[in-house]
Amino acid sequence: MNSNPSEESLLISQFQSGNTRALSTLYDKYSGALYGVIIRICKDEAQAQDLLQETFITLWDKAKEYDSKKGRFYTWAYRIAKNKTLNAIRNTQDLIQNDDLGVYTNRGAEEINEVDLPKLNGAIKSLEAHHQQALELVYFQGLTHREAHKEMDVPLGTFKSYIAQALKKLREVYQAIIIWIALGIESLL
Amino acid sequence: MNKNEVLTSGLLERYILGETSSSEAAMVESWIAKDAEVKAAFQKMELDFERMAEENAVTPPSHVKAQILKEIAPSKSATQSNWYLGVAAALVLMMGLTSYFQYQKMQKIEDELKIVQQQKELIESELESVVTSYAKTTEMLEFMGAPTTQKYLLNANELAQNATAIGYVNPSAKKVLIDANALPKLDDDKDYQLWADVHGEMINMGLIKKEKALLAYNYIEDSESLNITIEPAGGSAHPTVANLVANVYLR
Repeated sequence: MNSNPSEESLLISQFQSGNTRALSTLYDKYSGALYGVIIRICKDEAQAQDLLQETFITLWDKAKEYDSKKGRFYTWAYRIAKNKTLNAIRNTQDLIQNDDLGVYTNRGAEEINEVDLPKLNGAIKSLEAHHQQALELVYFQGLTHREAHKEMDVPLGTFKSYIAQALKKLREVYQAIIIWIALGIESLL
Repeated sequence: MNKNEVLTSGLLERYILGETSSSEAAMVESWIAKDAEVKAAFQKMELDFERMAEENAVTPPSHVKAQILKEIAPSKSATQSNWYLGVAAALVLMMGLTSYFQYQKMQKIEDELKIVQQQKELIESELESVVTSYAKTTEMLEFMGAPTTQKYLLNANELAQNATAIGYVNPSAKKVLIDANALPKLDDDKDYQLWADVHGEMINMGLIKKEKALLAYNYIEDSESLNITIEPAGGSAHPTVANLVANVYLR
């Protein structure tokens, strides 16, 4: 994800003109991040693999709809992956609900403990617990702001400010990393 | 919604997360398109989210990629039959021909690419010279239009067919521009030369080059007049006064 912008835009335009090699490169770059999101939302390895595959097929079919002026390729792919995953688990939950004749309980909450989910890594781990949770809910659990603030039992406005603060902290961490790298390089010179 | 609200209401976050309605999304897109600050904030946020996702990447098993590539590959209809060997032979022949044509095609594309690159370099160098000459022209126009620049007409006599040269003199910028375009062309063995009269002495300011439309000279302190003479090619150390074709007194 650190390639320079012109390299990325060349890749995207090749991808949009139907170049399968470009799709393969994009897969190598982004599949891990997308799979990390999908598996955390659906909590089922086999389903996550299917969804990752469907996501890339959709990206391929809808390649021409992507518009770089509206955001990065990854952002577009993330939204598609997330929507696909949410739709899929809604369908599964509907089935379970019908089978059990309405005695549906909060399946999602139970499964968090059942499945060995990948732990969160990187800068998000350095955030305060409530900031971490807020980001996790919207980004890695696929909840909307409206669902997530109820989950955390805080008003929507408070929740929005959690997200804003969490992003600010994240930015500080990433900038500090850049400065450390720069200082490191300087000390080598 | 004003700019500050766009930046602080959580709208950008929700847009990246795909939670916005289509009208909200359209609003975000128009802000990104028209406002550099919103765009920069949005791009940073996108990168931060992306980096967080990258840090939390999980490598999918390799069969997923293989399956995707298989699904998007153009479908091939391979019919097996008794003429197995014949088909195989035909395929080998076709492959040989195809690769030969592919090779030729690639060579042609490579040649074309070279030409395009050369053209690009040529255009770049032309652009550079256009930019430089534009800068020079702008500088000259500014000089001509400056309030401290005086314009003088140097009316030539019959030696130069009564033509008119124009002088732009700016003592504070220590610069003189001469437009000698209208003066008649001289033979190769002759040149026009410009002189400044300082306290009765003619000081050589330089030749008026034949191919240039506008020429710049250093202004000489206390010049009382500008003078143009016709001299042997390459100019003279002292003016041939008999060949004085134009002069003007500076105020």
